[in-house]
Amino acid sequence: MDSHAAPLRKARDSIPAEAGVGLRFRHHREVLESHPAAAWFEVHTENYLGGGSAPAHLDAIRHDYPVSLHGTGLSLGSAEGLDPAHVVRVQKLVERIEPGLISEHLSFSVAGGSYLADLLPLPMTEEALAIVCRNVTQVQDHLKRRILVENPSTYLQFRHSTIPEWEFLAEVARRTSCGILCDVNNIYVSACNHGWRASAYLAALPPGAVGEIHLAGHAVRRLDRGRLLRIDDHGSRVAPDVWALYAEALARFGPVPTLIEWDTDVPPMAMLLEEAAHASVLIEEAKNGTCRALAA
Amino acid sequence: MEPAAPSLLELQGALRASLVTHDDRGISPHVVDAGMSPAERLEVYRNTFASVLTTALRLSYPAVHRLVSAEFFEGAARVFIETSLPRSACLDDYGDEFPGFLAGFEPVSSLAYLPDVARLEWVVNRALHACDAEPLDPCRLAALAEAGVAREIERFVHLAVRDMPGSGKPAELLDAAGISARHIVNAVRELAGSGRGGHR
Repeated sequence: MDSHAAPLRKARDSIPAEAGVGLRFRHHREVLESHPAAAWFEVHTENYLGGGSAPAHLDAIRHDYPVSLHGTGLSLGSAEGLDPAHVVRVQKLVERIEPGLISEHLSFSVAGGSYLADLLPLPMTEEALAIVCRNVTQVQDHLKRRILVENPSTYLQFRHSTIPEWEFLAEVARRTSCGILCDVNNIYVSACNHGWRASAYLAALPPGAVGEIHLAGHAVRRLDRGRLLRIDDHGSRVAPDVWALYAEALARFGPVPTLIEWDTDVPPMAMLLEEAAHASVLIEEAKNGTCRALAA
Repeated sequence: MEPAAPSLLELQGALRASLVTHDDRGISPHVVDAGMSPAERLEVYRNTFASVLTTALRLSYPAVHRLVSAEFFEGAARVFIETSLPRSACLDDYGDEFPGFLAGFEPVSSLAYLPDVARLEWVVNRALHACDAEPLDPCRLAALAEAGVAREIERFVHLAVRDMPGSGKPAELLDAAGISARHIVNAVRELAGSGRGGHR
């Protein structure tokens, strides 16, 4: 064996149960040049499906960090089924990057063959449940890997929904063996918008299925007559109430890889690392709590 | 009375119509209206839909954006979006029809150069996101030289513009620059007639 072989990628490895940062284009150069102390990075799959500098940068970053691929384009809830060409493009990126985790959303983005550029809400019906499970299974069969499915933030509900969203998501995980990406900010936003109890949502998710947590900031829009609508814009620090809900999530799910997301007015990397450091403190507390529980 | 529950396919078509053509008739009856009207709720999704696609166009057409101002660009983009939706979730691929749209968009008809600027930007955009070509392996060149076939590689004729173009008719400029049809035909004849055997 050649002992001087080039170092292997630091991580063919899985994503650690630590706080990572959502990586956006403006930070590529900084990450490559100054190697900030992030535990791992997550990128949006659809930003790296072409050629040129973006995937080349990601190759280089992947050499030094574990990377998770977070998709917004598979449209797992589309009644018309998956776009096979898109699945193949995702598969090629997965083969190239060897991500520690692959995730998508409980929503739809494609209707009538067009991509509608948003994560649109699904009716919580038996029909939609069967369609989501069919699509998730097809993706997992194609990638030959488990994916995580994320709970969305929503601004409307459908009259004919019959299943609470938390039960729907848990059932997708049960039927397809996919994991759950628990977006704590999304739970908070949707719970406020629809009058759900956020803690009850967390309590309904099967702990063994939760493979990742997302944290982000949201905006509060004031409507007339004093009404409020919370918008999941990923444009600020994580709200205090969401940190509190995150602590509840860690107590229930144990230490889970946690991501700081920021997409609107992306701040300097230092601020993202500050938010990640805050999450790390809570993860450490959860780890100690787990040790105490095991010792007891 | 409760409306009959639509199939998922019908519901998704109705939400698409609400986003793209602002026609809420198909979707509104199925939206819970507690606290906020269906129209207010749907507006949140319409905003995201339009602003994400407008941003994608702005990133692909920065020069057009500067030429017509941000406000005008946004207005033009919203009209364009109604007629041309992304066919893929990879938004780098979105907007190939924008130059043609601008060519027929009455409010910019006085800017005769604008569609050409857009066409150039689209080509640049394609090049930026194209997969890198495999570079020629220098070892292969070296091997050719060692095998005594290096002279094969000299068999090319240089056709290129070496000066800044001046004014004149297109045909005259091509001829003056040495890249007209006549020059190309002569170059091919020269190559074909130089006959040092075919390719191995």
